[in-house]
Amino acid sequence: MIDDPTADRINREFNVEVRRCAVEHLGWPAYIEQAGLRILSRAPDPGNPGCELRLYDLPAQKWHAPSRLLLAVNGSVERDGTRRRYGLRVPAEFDHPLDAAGWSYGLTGAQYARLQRRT
Amino acid sequence: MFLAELLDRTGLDVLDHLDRQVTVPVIDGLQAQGDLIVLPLALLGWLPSRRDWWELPAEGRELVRGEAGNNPHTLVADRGTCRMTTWLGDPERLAIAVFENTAPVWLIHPEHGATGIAPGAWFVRRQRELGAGFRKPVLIAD
Repeated sequence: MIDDPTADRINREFNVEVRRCAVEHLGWPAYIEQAGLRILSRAPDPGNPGCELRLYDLPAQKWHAPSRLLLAVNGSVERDGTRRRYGLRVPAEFDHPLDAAGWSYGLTGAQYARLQRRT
Repeated sequence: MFLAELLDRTGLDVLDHLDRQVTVPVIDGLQAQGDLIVLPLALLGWLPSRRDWWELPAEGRELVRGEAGNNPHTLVADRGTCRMTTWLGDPERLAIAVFENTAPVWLIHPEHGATGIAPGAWFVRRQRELGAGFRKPVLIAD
């Protein structure tokens, strides 16, 4: 699973940590492409200049609560100068990436929009 | 405050590729360091009991450690300028600390560098994502 991840195998995985390791092995952009995820909305990431939050629809899956994927960009640079992307699964009730990002910290989208700095 | 100076004073370190010759900004508002977010205490909606507060020790305090156990977020301040508690309730079950500071306090992390928090009353929350299946949300550990 982790050594040879595919989007399909990842989607069926129940262990969140295994799922995360597998996606990071594959790379978030590759996972999104393989899984054919449809982008619902995008917005500038407050406190993270030049970076964007993207919200993707995740296909409905048996035995899994309806969910969406929020793709964000790390606020700090990696050793090679790039910024890592990371995805978070959020409840399917959110249509706007700010609301989804806010939920991940227990905030509303309007509260999250006041973020001044992200590192 | 330069990052190099702050690291020198606290004895903490960050990864080699981060620029140490940068001024660490002091932010008076919401800010996030990876999977932690610092929020004005007013957003919590209630005040934790005063009796369980203590002074932040000189060596600082680790708020949370990363997945591999070696990437802590550490809160540090000049002696006598920051009181904190970890005894708190949060309707969202994400808060891990509350603090009050009369001078800037610093949050330091090996991968994210350092950031300053202006004098005020603040609380710190972790980040969550949806669990698999229909399970409860899980906490992020970056």
